[in-house]
Amino acid sequence: MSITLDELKHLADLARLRLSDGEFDAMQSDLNRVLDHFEQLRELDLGDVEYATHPSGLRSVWRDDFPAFGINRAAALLGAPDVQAGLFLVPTIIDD
Amino acid sequence: MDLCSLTAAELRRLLDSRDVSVREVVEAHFALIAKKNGDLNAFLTVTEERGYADADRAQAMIDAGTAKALTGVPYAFKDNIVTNGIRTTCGSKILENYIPPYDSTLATRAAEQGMCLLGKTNLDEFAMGSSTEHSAFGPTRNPHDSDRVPGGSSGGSAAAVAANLAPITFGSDTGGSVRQPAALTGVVGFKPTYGRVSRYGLVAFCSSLDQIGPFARSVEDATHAFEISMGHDGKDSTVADHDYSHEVARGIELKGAHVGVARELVGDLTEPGVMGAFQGALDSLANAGADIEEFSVPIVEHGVSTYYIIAPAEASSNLARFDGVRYGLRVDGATHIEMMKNTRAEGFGKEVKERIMIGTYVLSSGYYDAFYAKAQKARAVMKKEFQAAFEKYDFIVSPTSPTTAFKIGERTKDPLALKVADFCTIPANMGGFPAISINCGYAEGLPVGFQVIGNSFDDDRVLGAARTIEGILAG
Repeated sequence: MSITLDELKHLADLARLRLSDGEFDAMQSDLNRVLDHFEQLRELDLGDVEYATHPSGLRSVWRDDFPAFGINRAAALLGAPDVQAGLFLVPTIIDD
Repeated sequence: MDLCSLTAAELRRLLDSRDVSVREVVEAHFALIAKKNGDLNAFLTVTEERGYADADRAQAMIDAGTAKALTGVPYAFKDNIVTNGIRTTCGSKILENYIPPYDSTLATRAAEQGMCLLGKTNLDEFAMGSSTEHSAFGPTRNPHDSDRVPGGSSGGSAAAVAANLAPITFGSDTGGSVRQPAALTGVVGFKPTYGRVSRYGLVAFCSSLDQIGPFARSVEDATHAFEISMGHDGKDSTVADHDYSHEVARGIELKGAHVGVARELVGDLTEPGVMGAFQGALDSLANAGADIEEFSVPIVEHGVSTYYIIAPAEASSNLARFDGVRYGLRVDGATHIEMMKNTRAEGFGKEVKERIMIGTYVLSSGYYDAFYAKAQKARAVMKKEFQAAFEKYDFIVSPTSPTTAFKIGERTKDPLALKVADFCTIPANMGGFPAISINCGYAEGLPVGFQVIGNSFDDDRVLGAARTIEGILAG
């Protein structure tokens, strides 16, 4: 199974990555080399194995339910690239 | 007296007997960092002001008679462990100027101990790599040979301990990122059972595999460092308080112990020098009365593929948070989507971009069952086969890495060359098992690591076995 340039461009779009032509070329050859390596796993017949997406198989452990302070607004905004009126500022999302 | 060459346990004795002050200890370490870090590039940030403030607090604890196990001991964090008010870069340009507004649980616990923070150490960007060459801030060099890598991704933490820049550091281990650099730099590195240590404030790479673990120059120090980090904190729902015996962790009898050697973990890729040192350690164990037997876990041959599907899949999702909105780098664009794309294009390095793309691919419709679901099945089989082995064996041992430290630049051109070498460490992450690497000798002057893997939540037994083996090999 090999990955085409068109597929790669679609993936980059999904992953919100802008890549240069040079990066696409390098990535196509690197990814195909890695996907080749995955082939033997893909062909492996593991039958009807039940799987979990977690290694521990443990149940979640919750803390007691009580009110507690998190990070306050000023601290949370301190690292933001752009702030206005105590809010994160982003480029226009909805057109007029 | 060279304070930097002492273990944490030795420093603690000198501090308690008032033969040295905490300030003297911390000062000696900052002086050595100033001297050596220019060449090694183990530290990305050195925290002198904080370190001395910690020292004064630690001294007050000692003077008041309230010292704890690691009071006054200098330490450092891999730079993906969040520290309040101190830059946390993850080795990435996207977080180059990120100053977190909160502490990780581990940072809180270290402060409660009265440990003294020296700084933040170098890593492969977002912990993706096995050589620390994928850091946006340049590679870390191996203290044993400056032309060689220290391993990775926690290479800065490993090199710092190996070069005596700190007696204890912490890293994170997703597919071997604590144990492999420990092996390549000749120190102790421990990956606890998945669910032992809170990852609150560890920047997530692959959440179903990530685990925080310590580096030290003795198993005793690594044990203390692990013990302050373990246990429920209410902020990581995978972490519970499980049984743990401090006594067992301080050494166990290996006479009559059943030790399994997985044939697939001693592969064709294993260098003769590594094989020699490993075999020597096995002979010493046999002489000490351990019952050593070879066995087979065939699924391990698919460990690398399994890992390099699951880890990028989770990474592609976890790294979606770096969008130029709330923190970190922003590169402007006409629309918010353009802004995100520009930010991520400039902020992420090549390896991270490739893994995000692989992850997006294996999770995309049409390929999900062929790759991601198949890898999860292989993971389940791997865990089952190891659990079956633990019915028979107390421990499973192997070389930690099939090779010693390789030259900088030697493996960066081929995307697979670095990855296939991770086959010895990956199974412990897949099953969530505790595993430790200790030094078992040298091959052509370069350190070789010996790995001990135990059953889930047998952290005390793994540490206890490693402590005993360390003694046997030293004797």
